[in-house]
Amino acid sequence: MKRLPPTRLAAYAGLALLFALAIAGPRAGTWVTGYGVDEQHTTFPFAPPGFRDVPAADPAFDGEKAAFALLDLRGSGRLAWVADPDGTPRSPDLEPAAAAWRSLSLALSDAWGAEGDRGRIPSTVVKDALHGRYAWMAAVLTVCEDDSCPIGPLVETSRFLRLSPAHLAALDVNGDGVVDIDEFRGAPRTFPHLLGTDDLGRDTFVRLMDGVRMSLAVGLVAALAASLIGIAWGATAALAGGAIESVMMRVVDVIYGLPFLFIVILLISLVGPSTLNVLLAIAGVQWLTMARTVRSLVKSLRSAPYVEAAEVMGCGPVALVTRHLVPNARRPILAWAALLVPAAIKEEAFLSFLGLGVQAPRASLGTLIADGAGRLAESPWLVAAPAIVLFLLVLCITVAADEGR
Amino acid sequence: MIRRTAIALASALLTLWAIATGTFLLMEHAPGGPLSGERRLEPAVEAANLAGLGLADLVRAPCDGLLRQLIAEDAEVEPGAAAGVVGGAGEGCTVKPGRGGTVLLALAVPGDAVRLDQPLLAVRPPLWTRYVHAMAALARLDLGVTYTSRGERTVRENLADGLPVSMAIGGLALAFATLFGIPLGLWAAARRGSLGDRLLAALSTAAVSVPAIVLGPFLMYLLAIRFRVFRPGGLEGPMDLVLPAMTLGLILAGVFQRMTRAGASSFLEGSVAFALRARGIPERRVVGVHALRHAAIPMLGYLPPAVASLLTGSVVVETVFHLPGVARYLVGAALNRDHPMVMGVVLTYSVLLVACTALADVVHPWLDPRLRAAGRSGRDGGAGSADADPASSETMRTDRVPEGDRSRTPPDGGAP
Repeated sequence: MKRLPPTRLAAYAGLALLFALAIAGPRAGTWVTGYGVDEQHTTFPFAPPGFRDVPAADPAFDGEKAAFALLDLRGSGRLAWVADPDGTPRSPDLEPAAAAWRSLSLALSDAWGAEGDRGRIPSTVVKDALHGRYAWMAAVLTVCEDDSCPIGPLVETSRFLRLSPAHLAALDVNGDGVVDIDEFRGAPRTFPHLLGTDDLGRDTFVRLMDGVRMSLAVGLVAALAASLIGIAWGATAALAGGAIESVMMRVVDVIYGLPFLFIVILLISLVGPSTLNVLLAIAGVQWLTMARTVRSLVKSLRSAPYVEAAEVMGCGPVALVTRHLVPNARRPILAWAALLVPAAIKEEAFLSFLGLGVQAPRASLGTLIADGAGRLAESPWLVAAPAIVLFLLVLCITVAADEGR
Repeated sequence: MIRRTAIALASALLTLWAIATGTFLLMEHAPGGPLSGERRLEPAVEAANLAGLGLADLVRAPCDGLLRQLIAEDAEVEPGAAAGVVGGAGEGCTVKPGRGGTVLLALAVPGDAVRLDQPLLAVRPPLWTRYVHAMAALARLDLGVTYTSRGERTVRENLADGLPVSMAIGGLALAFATLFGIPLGLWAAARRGSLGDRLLAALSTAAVSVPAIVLGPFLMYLLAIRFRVFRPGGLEGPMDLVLPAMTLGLILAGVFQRMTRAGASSFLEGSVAFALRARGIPERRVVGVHALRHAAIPMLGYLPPAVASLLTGSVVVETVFHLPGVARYLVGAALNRDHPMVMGVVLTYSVLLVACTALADVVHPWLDPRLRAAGRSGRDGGAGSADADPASSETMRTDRVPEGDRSRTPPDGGAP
């Protein structure tokens, strides 16, 4: 089938983009958004795309020194922190702010549960949470009107409360255990959840980056392993010939007649679900096509005139394989191996979707779709993002592999 | 024809026997089972459970002789489950630790005194006997009891619950794919190179690539949540099957469209179609009858993989649409190490698939006169060349390939 060059171009471009995403991985996602892959914001589960919160894993600071006065309750001009024996930073100076945020987030959590990001909480509740500190109230309550405060802007104005000891440690460039006004670079900046958050308030975008990488890695490795098994099996059968060949190919026929994925499910139920087991199970059923292809390829090459000619001219078996068979079989085998990748990706997604594949906390595209499937009506983006990426991944590889043939 | 049927049947039976034996051996060596829970049960309770699940026989042991015999007969030692019995005078005997192979569990803790009229041991018969029993049970269609129900429900009851729903989805999807895929394939073949053909090619590529876990939620969102044409899940009436069947049917229709187009266009470009047209047979008939028949042959070879993909796909759509099909039992069973249930599903689906393969094998020469001729003059005439170039065969595009050389389209279109 002839395809237009734009199709090929689009497939290669898409593939390059998805590979780049996968190689960049969750770290790149954290670098962009600041949210960590396992970072939970349980106050705001199922936040819609664009909801701004304060990332903890890779914080940025807004550079406004005004927040320093708000946090420095004693007016000493310094915020101190110490490291616990196990390395976690602690700061008594920030304790009042942290306590205020804890009570505020409880109130926010209630309003969030009832109305989502459009919810509002009464100003009195906010005032209570701020323990009657007027400076804080003046900063936070600017967004309130008619005795109620919208959640989104409130998160924005109260972000100074969320300066954590870890932030202090990051701000403390000279490492003396105190942050003064010169070192202080402002309150932590808010950043939108690009694709919203999931049930635990984890950033979906960063998890998607993790999932793409996992899906692609499993697909590539499983396809590679399946190809190697298939090549070895098919080539052995073809070169051995006779009874060995017919028995070997009969085995392939028998396995072919079985419901592949159910056998994978059976194997996984026996050994327990894990990424490695899924990989092995997929490789264990995907090699059949390759074995058949390689066998017929090798057989047809063996009887090709130029190979016979080489044999007649005294070419030894080793040279025959390395000089004639391998170079001529390489391209079709590569094309077939490439077609195994989308199949393996689909199967991994299928198994992970059922909960039999990649296990939490690791994510793959299949688990991400499964996580969102129960809330399709309320939070369609949870399914949409990984589903679109999975579709594009499979489509681009399929089209590119078809072109390669 | 009879010979062919016999060969197909024998091959099907051989395959089934192989998978039955395979599952039996897997089950035997499965690490962990229904009773390998975190907490250790009372020996008597655990033995009763084992017996209830058909994994052991409870034996009322005469205190002395039987145990010595068991130990002597089988050297296989189950660590932790070994027990020996001493004494035997009068009304009771005492259990003490010892070596025991086939003894799974003594009902009494070592050191206990046991009365003679109680069953004393949970005994597992030797492998060979177990194998014969298992095969006999399978022949009676007895698939055992499910572990997750603690022996309350048999696998067959669960399958009887779930299979009708799954089969209905699969059947509807197959009908959907046939109804749309084949006519669109013929249409595209008749207008090769036109805008419509290229559009359909792109669409079918997309349909073949889209995983069911993507298409299912998409259709559900579009047609059940955005536009409330269908209900978003559950099964209350036949209308609830439409969306799941459509999900699977669309994917399969893509495959059918490609295969029909490839088969029909190779025919329409060949000399046979040329001769038909030269005889004045209208194009409508050349495409609708002759090309269709030609294209149907590789389709038949694709029947088993199609059924396999429907079975797998139905697990996904049942999960997505919350339908009470086989998936409900299968997935839970796989996560909870309910081996008999998983194996019941695997065996049932294998039978289905093997039956389809056998059917396709038998019906094939009836559709394809070349095979009848080849069958008379010994098979495999020149098949090697058709087999040699995998890239030429459209059927190989899909991730499963129809069996052997018989099902491929010969490159030349075939002259009668």
